[in-house]
Amino acid sequence: MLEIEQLTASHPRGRGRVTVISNVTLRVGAGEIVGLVGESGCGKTTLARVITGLHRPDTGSVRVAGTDVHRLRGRHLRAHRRQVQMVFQDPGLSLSPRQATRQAIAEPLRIHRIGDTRSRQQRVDELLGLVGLDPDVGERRPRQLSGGQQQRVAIARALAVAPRLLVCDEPVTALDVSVQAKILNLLCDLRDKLGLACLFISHDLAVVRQLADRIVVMRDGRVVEQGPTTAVTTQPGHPYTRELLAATPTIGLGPRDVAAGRRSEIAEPHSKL
Amino acid sequence: MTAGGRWRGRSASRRTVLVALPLAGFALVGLLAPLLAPADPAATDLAASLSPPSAEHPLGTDQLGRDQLSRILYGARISLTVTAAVLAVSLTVGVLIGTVAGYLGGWVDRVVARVIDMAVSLPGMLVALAVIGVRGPGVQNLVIAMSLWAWAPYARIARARVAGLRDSPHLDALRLLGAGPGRIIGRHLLPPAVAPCLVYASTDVGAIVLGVATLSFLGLGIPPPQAEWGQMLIEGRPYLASAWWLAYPPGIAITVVVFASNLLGERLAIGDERPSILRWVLPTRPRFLRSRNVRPPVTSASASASASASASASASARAAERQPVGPRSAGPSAASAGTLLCVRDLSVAYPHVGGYRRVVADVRYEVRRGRILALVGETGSGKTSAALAPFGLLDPDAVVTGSALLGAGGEARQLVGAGPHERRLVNGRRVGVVFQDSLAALNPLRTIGAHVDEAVRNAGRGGRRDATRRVTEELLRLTGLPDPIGTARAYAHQLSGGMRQRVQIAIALAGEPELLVADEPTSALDVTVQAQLLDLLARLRDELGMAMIIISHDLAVVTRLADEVVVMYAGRTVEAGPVATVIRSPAHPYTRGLLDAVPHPSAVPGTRFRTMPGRSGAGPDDVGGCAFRPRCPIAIAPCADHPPELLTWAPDPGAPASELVAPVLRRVACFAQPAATTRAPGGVGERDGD
Amino acid sequence: MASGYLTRWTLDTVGVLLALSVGTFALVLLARGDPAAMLAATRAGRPATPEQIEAVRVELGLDAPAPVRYLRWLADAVTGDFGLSLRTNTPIGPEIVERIGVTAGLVAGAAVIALVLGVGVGIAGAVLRRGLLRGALRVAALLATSVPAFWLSYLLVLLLALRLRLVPTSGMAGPATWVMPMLVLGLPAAGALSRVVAVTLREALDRPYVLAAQARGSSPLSIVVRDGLPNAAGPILSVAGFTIGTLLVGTVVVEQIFGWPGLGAYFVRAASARDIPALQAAALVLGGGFILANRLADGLQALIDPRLRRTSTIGPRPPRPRRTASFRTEPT
Repeated sequence: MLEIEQLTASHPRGRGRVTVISNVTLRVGAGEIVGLVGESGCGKTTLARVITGLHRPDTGSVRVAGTDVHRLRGRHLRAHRRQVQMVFQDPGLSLSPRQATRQAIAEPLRIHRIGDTRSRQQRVDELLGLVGLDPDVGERRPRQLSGGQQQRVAIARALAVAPRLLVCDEPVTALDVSVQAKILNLLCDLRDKLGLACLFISHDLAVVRQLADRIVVMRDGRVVEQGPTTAVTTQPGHPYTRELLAATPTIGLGPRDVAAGRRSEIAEPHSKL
Repeated sequence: MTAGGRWRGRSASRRTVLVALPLAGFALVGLLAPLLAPADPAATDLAASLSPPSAEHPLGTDQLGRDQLSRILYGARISLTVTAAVLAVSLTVGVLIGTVAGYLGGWVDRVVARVIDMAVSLPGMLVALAVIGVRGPGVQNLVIAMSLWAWAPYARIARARVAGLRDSPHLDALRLLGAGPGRIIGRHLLPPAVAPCLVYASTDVGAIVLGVATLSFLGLGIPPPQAEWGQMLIEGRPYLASAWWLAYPPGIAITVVVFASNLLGERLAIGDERPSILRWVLPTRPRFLRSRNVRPPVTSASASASASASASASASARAAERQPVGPRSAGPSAASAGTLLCVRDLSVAYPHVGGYRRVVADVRYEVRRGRILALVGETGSGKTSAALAPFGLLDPDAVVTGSALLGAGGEARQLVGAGPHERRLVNGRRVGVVFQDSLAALNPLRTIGAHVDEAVRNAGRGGRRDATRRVTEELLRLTGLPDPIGTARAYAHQLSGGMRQRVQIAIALAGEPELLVADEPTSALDVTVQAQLLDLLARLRDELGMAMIIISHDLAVVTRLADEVVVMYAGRTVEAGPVATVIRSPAHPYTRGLLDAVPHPSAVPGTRFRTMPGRSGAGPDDVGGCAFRPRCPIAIAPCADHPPELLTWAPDPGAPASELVAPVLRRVACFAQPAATTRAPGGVGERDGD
Repeated sequence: MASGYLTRWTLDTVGVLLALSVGTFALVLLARGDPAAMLAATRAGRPATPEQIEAVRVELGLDAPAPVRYLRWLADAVTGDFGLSLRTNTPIGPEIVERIGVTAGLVAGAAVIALVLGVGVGIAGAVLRRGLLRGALRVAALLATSVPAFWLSYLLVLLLALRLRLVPTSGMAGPATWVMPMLVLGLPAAGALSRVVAVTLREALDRPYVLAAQARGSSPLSIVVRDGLPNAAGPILSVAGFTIGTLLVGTVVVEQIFGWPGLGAYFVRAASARDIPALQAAALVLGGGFILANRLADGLQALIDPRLRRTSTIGPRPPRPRRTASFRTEPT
């Protein structure tokens, strides 16, 4: 579904550019959830923007369902964009504050001129049900919704164009743990029901571990390890993965064991740039 | 939004309408002047010149015998015409230029922004005067002269608004959905750009009316035969002392319109009373790049611990002194020996719809010396209010009741209701606080060192400047910052999130406190940084013997660190006890729900979480009975009656013997908890503590 | 870092001043009527003949193309030579210089009133959280900004000069005559400034770092002085600069009313008579003062705010905080 080959991307900085992704190669199969783990500043958000076509890479290719996103222009690009959709970190910022839920979900249908008013309303009802929102949420604006509800609306809007790949950039980081669990369940359900492929980006290995079929670990713009979830979490090959695993908070370890038994060997990364 | 919020909103909008009334009146009078005026404003009657107000001339006549009231009404018409024309021109031009430039970005935007900046920094009145000076007076020239500078603020506001939205996730999402530039500008950028411009226009009405009057007063606006307020004033000037009716009415008319316009602008501007002039000068608050820091990396978080032996040793010595030597007979109000902070029946309420609304209700917890208490709950559960209320760190509107005793026995100090002076003996000396958003909690204009120095001085530990700075550097080193001298000279925005959080901890430690309160200390941080900070807190507790309250929404985070946990839901405590036993056998369905939400290390990928239905966010008094009942899988009949009390709960029979004699009791507030009925004789729960 | 900012600030300021000069010069192009004809008529004392007009045109250099004339005009203006007044046929430069002192004195006095009163009332408005006094201060400030200066002068004349007979109605002969013009000019500015001070200081005092300062036991005075005012200073400085600029412009009205022979009065007289060279000279000086006041205030901001001193770099967007901070449980 998604094939990334030898991808390198950079941001302008001052007079030159800084490379934020170098030589990334990864794949997401149909109906597969791939977890992308790394710390803030490791380039994972840029990768998401490159995949969705919002950011142009320097070299390498991004193919979604066999088509290279960055070779398309204008109308073709817009048509192709229905294949890949993105869910952003802060749902409050990714929704228009002026649009009620129903309008927001119907917006992509209007953009692509799909159906008439009546069939769109039907589709919106379907989508609301699919993401587990009550119909009465339909008339509310984002600010009247909780964070979890906002994220569901954002997911429903992304699903309106029937994408085949969903790129989720830290979709649960802004949410309470109890709400996070519900959104993760929803993503699993959508994969099962719709056969949706999903690239799930997070800094939290614990979350990714329970969700993803495969895990990709990124650091400083490079993929340091990737493989099936159980392999990566039980037999980590790279010291950085081990570091991440050790830092992951889990229930069950007593306070003393953790504080005494484990000290981080890798320093806090502050000066990346 | 609650019913109360709507009510408030309606009352506020009613007041806004009231403020807008004079402007509506102005517009109406301007439109209907020919119908309302009793006489022709230009009709002279020298016989009746300068006659005082009478039935025939309600506002008297001027030196040429013209009816003053009619002239006032027609003056409104002229002002309105010019105002409407100037606003129409400048709003349209300004918003269009600003929106397009803001959307396009790049060099077009930079050029347009520069032009706008220049236009805004030209003095408007002077431009108008100069243009009229060369073109001559008259309505048309007046409109041209005023529009020449009036468009710029609108362009600036619209551009700032659109440029702020250009890279927002909201527009990214629309682009991904396939929206073209036309749709994005027309439907998603213009409306938000127009809204603040309209707010600014409400003040601009006043500015334009004032400008027209001023120009006419100088003889450069509306030429004499026509009635205009400013010009009426200049004509009436020779009769200032004798004919008051010439001097007052036009001035009052101008003042009322301008005042209403200013008031409306302030009301409509975001932040309730933000003057519109601020939007002109600074259309948006400057946004700064976050923490791309300049410090070298930390070599090891723990390496510096030994270097700070002196500071930590003295602190732990002091902590040891405070520690009671043996079991002391505690007073009736203290829960047990070794209790540092004892909170009972703590409620926090905020003003709401003429009354008060509680966000924390009858919460109780105690912090033991040298132990870590975790306050856990979802957003809106009141956990932060419950932890900060004893120290007066809530909004000044908050009403705090109940009791919070710091210390035990005779020297215990009641914190609820303490005055500012008493607070300063506690805050920064006996209690240190670490806030969630470290960037916001540090003053952006002061160096890190200035913050810590101040904390050191407040705690009475400072001396001369360099002595204070030495303590500061020690404190920064103690929290594992590798380069204390350099860090002290840095500003908050130059440090990473983890480093800033360490700085906050250093500030909190300045007074060698007995208690450290940390509000979500690791929530915004990467997991590895989070782990390092949790290690640091654990180390500080061990080395300094300090008690802590850690507030978090994540049970997994606190289990690494805390000794005891208090779980809060809807402003009430639902369960409390030692962390290990609460996690092993949660008694309250909500605690169980929180535990279920934590990802499990050995779960097979794709395993669903068990989740609680419904959503949090209710207040303690929003639902009759137990606030958790609507989401509860095991609710029974009594749950609907009244909120369950927090009762002592015997640990499960399988628990290790040590827990049965543990100093910290398990408590739970649930009617349906089966164990609760067997825990005390007679089936009635014993209420412990007070 | 800091020197980069200074360079940019200087370039910006010069740029705006040049824009002002272009705009001012362009007034000639907008003008109705022929300046040469006006000056020739003034000299002849009656409508001039075509030959006289042509002679004046050549003398003024009006036969050259506009850009050349602009450069000549600018070069002369920088040395203080603004040409001849069309109305009086006398050099403009010396008269401008004479009048600058009058205007500067008036503006200085009004600025003291505006700054002292505005900042004082503003701080009171921010520190008082509620109550009658706060509301009264707010209404008074808004009223002061809303009253037209010329009408305020009437009220003051009626009260202070005619009723109480404390000060003369106009002229500038000694301190007693300074009171009214400075009040008329300063009071509206004080009102506007006090609102800005009150609101920005209130906003600064509602920020989380104030809570953090309370948590480390800082005194209320220290919090207002160290945390509140510096963080409010940016907008306050901006608006203060703007306010002093508007005082300069306000002299146009006030000098006219009270008969002060300053630049403002000169400007109005030139505008009424369509005396274009005089108008340009006055506009350039007043406008330049206005712009400098604004630019100086902006420059001072950077001295206060370390974040502004850094030369801006365009880079990847900063990471957003993961959880939105909630420091206070706000009532809904």
